[in-house]
Amino acid sequence: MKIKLASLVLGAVVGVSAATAASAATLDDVKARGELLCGVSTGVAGFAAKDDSGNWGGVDVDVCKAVAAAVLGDAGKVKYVPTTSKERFTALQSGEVDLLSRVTTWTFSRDVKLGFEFTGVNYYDGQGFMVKKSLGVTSALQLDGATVCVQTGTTTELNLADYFRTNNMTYKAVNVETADESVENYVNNACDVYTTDSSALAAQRSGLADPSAHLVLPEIISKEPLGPLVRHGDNQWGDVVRWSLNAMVIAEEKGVTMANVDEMKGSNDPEIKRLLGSDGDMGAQLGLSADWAYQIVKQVGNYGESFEAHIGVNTPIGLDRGLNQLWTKGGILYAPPMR
Amino acid sequence: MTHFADYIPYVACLLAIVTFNNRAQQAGNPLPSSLTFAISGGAAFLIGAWIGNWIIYWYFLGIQPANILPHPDTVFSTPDWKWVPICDPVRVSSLAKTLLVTPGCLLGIACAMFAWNRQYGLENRFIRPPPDYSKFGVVAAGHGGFEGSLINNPKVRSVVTQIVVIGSVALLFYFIVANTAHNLDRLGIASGFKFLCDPARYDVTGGFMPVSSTETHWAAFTAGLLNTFVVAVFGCIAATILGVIIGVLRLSNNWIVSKLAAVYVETLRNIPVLLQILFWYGIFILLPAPRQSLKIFDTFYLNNRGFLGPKLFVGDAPVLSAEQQATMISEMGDVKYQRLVEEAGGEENVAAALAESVRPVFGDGSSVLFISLIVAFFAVWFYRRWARKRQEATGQQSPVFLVSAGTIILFPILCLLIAGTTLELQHTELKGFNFVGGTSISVSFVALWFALSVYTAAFIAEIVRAGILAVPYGQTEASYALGLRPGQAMRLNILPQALRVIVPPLTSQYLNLTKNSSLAQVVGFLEIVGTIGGITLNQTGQAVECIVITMAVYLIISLVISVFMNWYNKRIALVER
Ligand SMILES: N[C@@H](CCC(=O)N[C@@H](CS)C(=O)NCC(=O)O)C(=O)O
Repeated sequence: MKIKLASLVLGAVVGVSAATAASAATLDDVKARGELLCGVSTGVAGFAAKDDSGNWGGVDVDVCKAVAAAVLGDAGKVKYVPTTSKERFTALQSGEVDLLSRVTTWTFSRDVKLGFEFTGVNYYDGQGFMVKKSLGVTSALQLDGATVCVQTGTTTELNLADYFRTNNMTYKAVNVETADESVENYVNNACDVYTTDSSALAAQRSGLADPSAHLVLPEIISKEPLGPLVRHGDNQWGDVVRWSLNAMVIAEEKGVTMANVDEMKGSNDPEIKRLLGSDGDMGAQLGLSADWAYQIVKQVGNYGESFEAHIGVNTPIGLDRGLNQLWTKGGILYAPPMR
Repeated sequence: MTHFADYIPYVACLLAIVTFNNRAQQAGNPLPSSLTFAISGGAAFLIGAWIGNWIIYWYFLGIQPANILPHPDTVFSTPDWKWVPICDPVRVSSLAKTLLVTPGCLLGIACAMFAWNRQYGLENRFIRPPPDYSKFGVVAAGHGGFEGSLINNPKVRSVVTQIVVIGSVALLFYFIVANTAHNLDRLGIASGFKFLCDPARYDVTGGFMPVSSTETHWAAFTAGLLNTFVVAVFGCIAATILGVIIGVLRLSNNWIVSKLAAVYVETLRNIPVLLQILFWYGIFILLPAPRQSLKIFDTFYLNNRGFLGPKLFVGDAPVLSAEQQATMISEMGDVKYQRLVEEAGGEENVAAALAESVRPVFGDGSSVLFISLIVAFFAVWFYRRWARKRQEATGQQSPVFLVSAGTIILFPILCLLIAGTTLELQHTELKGFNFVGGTSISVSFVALWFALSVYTAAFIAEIVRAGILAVPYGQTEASYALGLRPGQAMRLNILPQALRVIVPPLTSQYLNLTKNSSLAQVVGFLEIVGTIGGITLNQTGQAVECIVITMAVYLIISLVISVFMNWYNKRIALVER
């Protein structure tokens, strides 16, 4: 009996160590699994949302697709894991997802203290406020005493506290977990103001019954560089995600699009050649096939295409490129050279 | 720095006791053991206190204790429990002492009693006499008295098995902890509880204790704890009252009444509580906006933000020293100060306005209230005892309820009037978006409380019905035969007996309600899961620690409820003759 017990304990101990000492090589895991586990939001139109037929789409989703195209050669091999703002970090830390692409602001403490690595920025944003026009408010500085709808576990919540405190105003918060709940509370007058990243404000305003009855206030109270992130310490995987996003930006810069990528393969531009794998061994250096970036552009498109398809001026969300324009065209989008 | 020197008093104390005992025993002349045990108890306390301090400081807070002894001013002065000074190095030491003094003293006293009993043998309650093996035909040899190899010795076997089991569990536990720690470390995630003393950077609003973003995570946690506590306590009270009423009504002879009660129970207990919370929230936010609030006597207001009313201040605002005023003004910043001056109507009123801004509900002079309340409670207790004795002796009844209620309400009021304590009502008034001043309860809380109470009441009603049905009908008939009216029969005879059946399952309903309060998330009410288990967890990334704290809180609350209910259960069970 004693022997049985001892082996039981030993088994349990070994099991525990095996279970918790997850391997650090996410790239190998993804390849072996044949599927990318990508953490996205529970639903923000234009960033990550399901369409009527149940397919995920949006600029955040495109980052997942790009990584899947690069690693597995198929942008469709992604399993989307919807996460709330509150759950997202635990999901990534615990290995439930390989990658988080979920309107997440790159901040010092998330990068350093929470043990993550941000691999770039796919949307430069800032926090704003939305009110009902009937309230007669035109500036955020008139919001003293207001009740504010905000999502819990976000930078939004922290900026809100700072903004009201530094401007000597008070407020009451209604802290809920998902974007839908926030909007519903706002619509049902459970709060006077709704605050979040201004891109999401635009997206959600477009989904309201009468968008013109709502006003986005002029103040932008924070910097919100939103980007994909991975676990700290797995540099190879970090590189794969970083350069998948960079490849989309470089492709736009070089005029490589979903439509012309095949003919661009014959281009003489040395950077395009390296990007599309006809020169050099950059794919191999990343642990990927030579046509990794070709697959990204072919299946997902370049950054500009993704932007215009999901959140650009011709979509209901109607966001201007603004800061997210290429550096050559007056924005701050700037990918390091592919060499 | 913890000094090597810090060990000396404790180690010396321990050594002294051990030597003392040994010497005395060798001399065949044990000392009065009560003394020994009392000293051991004291030593146990000191050691406990020291270890406690060490753990709290060094492990949890990462601060080296500067001084092991509490600062004399700080021992029992924790004016507001938000300020339970976990993050204040000087005062945390006194907290540790206060927490450890009690068990230490109890231990000392218990040891002394044990020793006293043992010495005088008046009541050999604690010590079992050695088993008399001779009656099994076993000749005592040494201790066990069993012949043969050690393996066959039941005592040895049981000790070995226990050691193995405990050892394995400890080993398993160690591996889990060590593994987690290792993995957290590998991922570069901080561990430990130091984050509790970092600024929270988020505001806790809408509950019963506002916490600002400049205060610590610990303060935010205590605010969440208070909110959980309030929901649990008020929820249990309301659910019990409602549940008993519905349960009794369901047994009513009136067909309509009993069917209505049945419909209540069957509907509410079959709808998930989450939906009910959302439902009530949806109803309450249909109330008019603050500017169009429903008014009741121009003092109470109902709107889609909450329920508001006046606030009663007992006692005066504190008198602030010039120094305190200066710090408050400098912390305020210019803009705020200008606004304060404007609102106060001139520089000369600033002192009063400052004092008003930090005025507690129970201010200077409010101790009259507490003292008179205590006196009233004692008086009532004695009165009830007297009334019961009189009834037992003479059969005459006294107006116990009236006198008790009257004393508890009127006596403190009388005392307050005689002492001339300030009583001041602060009315709530509409200012900008919302009401300021007065007391307010948020819609989120009301919806949560309402839904939990109404839902749990459905279960309690069934428990109450079962309890009443478990009392034989003969009891009711006997009560009637004695001339009791139906209400009296229920109150004096049936319910007390039914309670024995009711109380154990009632406990689980209380526990359920408390745990269900974590659904507060959906209506944005920040309780413990929302604060430490939610925002703090998310912002600091220290999931393991935050979840451990959250679980510990629920465990402790549940244990307290269980212990209380078990005590109550025992008490009513003893009534049986
Ligand atoms: N950028 C901020 C806020 C991100 C965030 O959670 N935004 C909300 C507001 S729209 C959202 O995406 N919610 C989607 C969801 O609940 O799934 C952060 O990283 O903390």
